[in-house]
Amino acid sequence: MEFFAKEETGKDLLLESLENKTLPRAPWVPFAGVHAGKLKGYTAKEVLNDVDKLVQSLLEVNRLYRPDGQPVVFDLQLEAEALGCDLVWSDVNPPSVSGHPLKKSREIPGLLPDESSGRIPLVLDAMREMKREVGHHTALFGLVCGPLTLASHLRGADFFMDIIEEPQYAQDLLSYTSEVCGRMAGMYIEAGMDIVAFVDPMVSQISPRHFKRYLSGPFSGLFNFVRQNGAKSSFFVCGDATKNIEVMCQTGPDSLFVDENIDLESAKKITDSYGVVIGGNIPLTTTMLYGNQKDNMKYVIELLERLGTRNYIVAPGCDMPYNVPVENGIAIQQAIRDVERVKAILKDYEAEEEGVEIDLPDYEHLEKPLIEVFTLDSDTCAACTYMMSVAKLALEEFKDRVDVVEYKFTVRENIQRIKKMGVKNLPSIYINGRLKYSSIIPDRREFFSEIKKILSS
Amino acid sequence: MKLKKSSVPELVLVTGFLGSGKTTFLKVLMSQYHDALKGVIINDFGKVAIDGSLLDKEGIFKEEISGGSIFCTCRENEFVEALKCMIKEGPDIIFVETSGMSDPSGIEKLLPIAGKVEFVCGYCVVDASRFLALSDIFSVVEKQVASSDVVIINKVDRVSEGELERIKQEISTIGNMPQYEARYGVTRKPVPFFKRKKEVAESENSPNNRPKSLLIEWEGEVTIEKLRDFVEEILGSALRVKGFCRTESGLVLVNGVGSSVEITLADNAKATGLSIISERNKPVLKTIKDAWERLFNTEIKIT
Repeated sequence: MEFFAKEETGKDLLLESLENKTLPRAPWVPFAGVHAGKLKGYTAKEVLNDVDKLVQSLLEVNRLYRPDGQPVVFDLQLEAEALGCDLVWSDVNPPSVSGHPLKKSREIPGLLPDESSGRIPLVLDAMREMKREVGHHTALFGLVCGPLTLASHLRGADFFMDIIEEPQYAQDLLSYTSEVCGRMAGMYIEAGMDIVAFVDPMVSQISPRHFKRYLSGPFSGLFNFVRQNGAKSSFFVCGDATKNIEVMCQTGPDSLFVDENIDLESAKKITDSYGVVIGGNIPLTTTMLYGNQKDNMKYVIELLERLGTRNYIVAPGCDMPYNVPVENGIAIQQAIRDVERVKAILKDYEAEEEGVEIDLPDYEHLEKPLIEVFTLDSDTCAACTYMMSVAKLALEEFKDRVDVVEYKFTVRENIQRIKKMGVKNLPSIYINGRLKYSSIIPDRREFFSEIKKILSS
Repeated sequence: MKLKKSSVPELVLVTGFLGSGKTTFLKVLMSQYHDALKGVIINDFGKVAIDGSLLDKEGIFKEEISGGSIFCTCRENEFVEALKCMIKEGPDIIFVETSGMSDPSGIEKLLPIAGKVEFVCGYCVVDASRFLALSDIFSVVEKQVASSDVVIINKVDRVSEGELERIKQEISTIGNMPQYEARYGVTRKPVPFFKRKKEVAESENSPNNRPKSLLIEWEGEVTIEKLRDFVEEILGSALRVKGFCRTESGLVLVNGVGSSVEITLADNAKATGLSIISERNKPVLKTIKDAWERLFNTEIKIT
């Protein structure tokens, strides 16, 4: 009998999920690419070009969103750039390919990228650093641009005409890009990635027959390669790839991640029959970017109710937009970890007020500053814990000159108060009834000086 | 063409595969709205798009979305932001040209997020000289046609009358939207101002939405190998294929779902033929005809 069982980490959970085990809860993988930078105030360009900023940002994702697995970089232009494509940069989006080296000639490049090409050294450094920092409890994903999308980066839109007009060239270029993918996968596994994901959005745009003709071979080879090298694999697709789910499964990935264009329940029937784990598909724009915390929790709870905790991983539909509100990511992780309670709370939130009268304090005539911390639950939500600990520090510093109180969303009585106060995001700090900090944990000194200002007024 | 002035801008979508002539058609279309304050959103990076200086001269607002060549949900927010900015400019009508590889079927759900705008019409431009070959490979071509209200068959001068007729038939298997022939983006007959007819798209009687059930029959025997190839091929566009068939090895029962095809010997059957059920909005007729022609090239009856 084992008395001191090792505590199961998120990484264990995710890897067990990929072994088709039934789990106590579904694993969670936030695809925070450039969005990671937002958490630390860095632009998309900064996090994709500066290893320190990238790692700081990824660690912040790890701290606030408590992922079971996370990608190190989500940039489908990385390989293309290393192979000579021109990029256009943006502050709030991943870069775009603007120049294609094979645009004017149907050639097959002779060189493969290596550890010194383009930004690959930066990515490998970030992977090693992340492995050291969080690799023991978080599964790390190395993302590789898939062969079809990479071919279109190198050759431009003409590649799609090549498929019709020069099918042999198209096939040869795909063999080359598949080799590039294999090389990338090898480097990423060596840098400590637990899962290699091939991300090929273009796959949704071709017919299953042509998938079989052009891509079944290359993808089967890539998934075999990953398996033989002791890592797990994943296939990411964007768009309505409904018809291709089965042929994608037949290439043998461990998991498949899809976006909101796919009906997850129907797709899961197919993936289950192949023992492939499916992940997705919180809508990026309508829910994550423009929805509120409640929308996000509700969406995730519904996903979990429909899909269960076996062969399913909760994830955004694709790379999260840069400006996704931090509190939405926090709300999602809370809903995944505390399904039943969050479900009950959401139900209560939507129910009509049942004679519960909440008396708000008379904020204008308080005897001393009142610090109210509204949280999802500081026991289980990491961001809430950090917010609460800053408030506790204030209590230690100012002792009985201030009042500090926490209102947890997971306690039924607090819902009406949260509604009445008009609290939009959790966690938030209000001082004397006024919103001071929302989602972003305040710097201690800044927070103290706010309190001092009130004390001296 | 004059527009009724309204505080809510109207939105016109122009979609179509790479090289179909979307931009040329859009220019022609825009020129018809001479009295309207226009805006253009172009979702295609690096292409030779509408001349920016020309737009400036004419006082047309313009927003460009980069990276349009990869259309995926990760880029939807850029469209929403571009549309938000455009609405603020206060145009009467906003033209959106999508990227050639994009599936525009999800656009409607994004519009309310950006603000008040009335989606009036979706045009799909197809290149007559390549439509049949393209739609065979790229499922997105069919999706672009299926989600449009009007189809512009461009470059009709590059195909024979027979081919053009075939293209029209193929398009009508996707949906019953009106079709206009065009050269250099200019239609033979003027394209009237279409108001999007939601009731048509949502009607249960619309061929666009009805789950298709087809029966195919033929004379004579086929080989099991070719029969399997045929069923595998049409399963790419169908939900289920089932029925009894006469083969050189005897009577068989075919049962195809997803991508798995089972063919087993059967003792007897009341009737032979394959019953094919396809998903809503996923026309299968073209796939059947193409596959049959390539594999058997004999007469076939489809009802």
